[in-house]
Amino acid sequence: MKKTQLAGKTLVIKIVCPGNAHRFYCRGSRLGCGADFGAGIIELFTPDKNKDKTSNTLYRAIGPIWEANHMWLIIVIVILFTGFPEIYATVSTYLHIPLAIMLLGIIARGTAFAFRHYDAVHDDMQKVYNKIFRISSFITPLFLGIIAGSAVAGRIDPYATDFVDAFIFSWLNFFSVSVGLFTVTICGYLAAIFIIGEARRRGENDTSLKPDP
Amino acid sequence: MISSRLIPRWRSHWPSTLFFPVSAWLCLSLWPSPIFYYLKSGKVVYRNVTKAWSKGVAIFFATGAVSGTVLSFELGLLWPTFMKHAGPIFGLPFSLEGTAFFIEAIALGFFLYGWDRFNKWFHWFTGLVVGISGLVSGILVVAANAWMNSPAWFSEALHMCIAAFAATGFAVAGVHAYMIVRKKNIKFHTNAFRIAAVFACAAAIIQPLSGDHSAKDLAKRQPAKLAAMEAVFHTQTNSPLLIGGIPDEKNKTVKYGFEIPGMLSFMISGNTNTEVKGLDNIPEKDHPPVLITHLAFQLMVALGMLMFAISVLYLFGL
Repeated sequence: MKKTQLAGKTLVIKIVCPGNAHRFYCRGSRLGCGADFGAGIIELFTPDKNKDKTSNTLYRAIGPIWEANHMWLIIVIVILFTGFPEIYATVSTYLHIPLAIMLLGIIARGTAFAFRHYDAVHDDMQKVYNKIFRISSFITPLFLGIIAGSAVAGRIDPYATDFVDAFIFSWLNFFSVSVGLFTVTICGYLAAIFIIGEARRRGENDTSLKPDP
Repeated sequence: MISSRLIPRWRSHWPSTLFFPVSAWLCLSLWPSPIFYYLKSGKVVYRNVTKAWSKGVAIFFATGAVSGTVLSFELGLLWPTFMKHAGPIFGLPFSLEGTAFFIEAIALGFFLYGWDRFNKWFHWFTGLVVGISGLVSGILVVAANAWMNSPAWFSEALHMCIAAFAATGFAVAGVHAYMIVRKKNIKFHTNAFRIAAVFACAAAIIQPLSGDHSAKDLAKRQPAKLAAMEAVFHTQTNSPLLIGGIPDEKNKTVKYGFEIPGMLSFMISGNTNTEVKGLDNIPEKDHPPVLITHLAFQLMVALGMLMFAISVLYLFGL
């Protein structure tokens, strides 16, 4: 009797968890921070010659809105733990490693962005901030996607006894990582579309993302 | 279910996690004032003050936004079982706080990038919205924390918000005072210092009143916490107020302290004969840690009193 009850409960978690977690995480990433993360990704893959120009255009397009966009992520999480506390607890227990990496990425990104644009002095530290911003902009959506992917795939196994099974292979697998990479490309794509307007307004519609002839 | 004994332990971690966002958000409420000055008198120097402060606010806000994101994940990472039960309870104040923060972020975007682009009154209004929603989000996030103490969010939020005003005001005034001492751009820094100092001093002078209100509240609702803060080991009438001192938890005595007879009883009820419940009134297993609570509380009171003295000197002595 007890065993079946327990099994039933886990089943519910497994069925409900992927659906909602997926919906919430993806909505958060796509609607909100997608374009912001993408800004860093585009910068990362721009040739060195054009990096300054690109980052300038991106700053003008993203700067005024990125903080408000960040709120989406907070609101998504608040909805998750208010409406679905068990899912929130499950996800944050079994996927704590990618979550922690993602949080480090979020902190590094936000502070690097703020310091490189509002710092009173402009010196060599700016280059460090630039590098931190670009790399963490890549890492953050990658792990966001990995979390979403492993929640969707139902990889979380509450019966696992081994540390590696419970906390590593729940997210480190082909499907999750490919969802992560997919999220990165989506973010880059969104940002690319988002800055077209700004780039065109500045008369750079053709040269901003291509190397100078 | 959660045993009531475990809640204080979670609670004790909270303030540190909360402190940074709250102070970052509340520093925003400082600066509608220079905008007001600038628009009213049209003096360029106030405009420069506002621009300089808004740079600081932008950095604080950005770090506040990311630390707020981290905070909401951290709740689950650090206390998953707690969140499973308590998530829906403080989801409500937390989501209201999120909404206030959202409005603040949008208004801040308008304000920072809207210089000379909007009608000046609209621009001033966006600054005002930033200040008000910053204050509201500060109050709500403290309320989200305060339900764990007892339903006493008002006195906690009041005390915390005034503290944030005083702390950020003194910090800003300190930066400008340092620049005046180093004789850099004196006219600008004197003006900025004056605005920050008046705000900070007003907050620091009100603060003891709110502290008094909190102490009375505490004596009624959480006698164990009051006993730990004041290192009251034995229940007694005419209880003295302890200043300084190192409590010894094993022998239940306090060394090197200075006592004002009857003051603690007077503070919590207005009558020196009131009985103050000591730790002997509370079962051994529920005792809070005394040493660190007492020292932290004494430090807070000392800093508050120092700020109060400085403020009185500044506002009335000069």
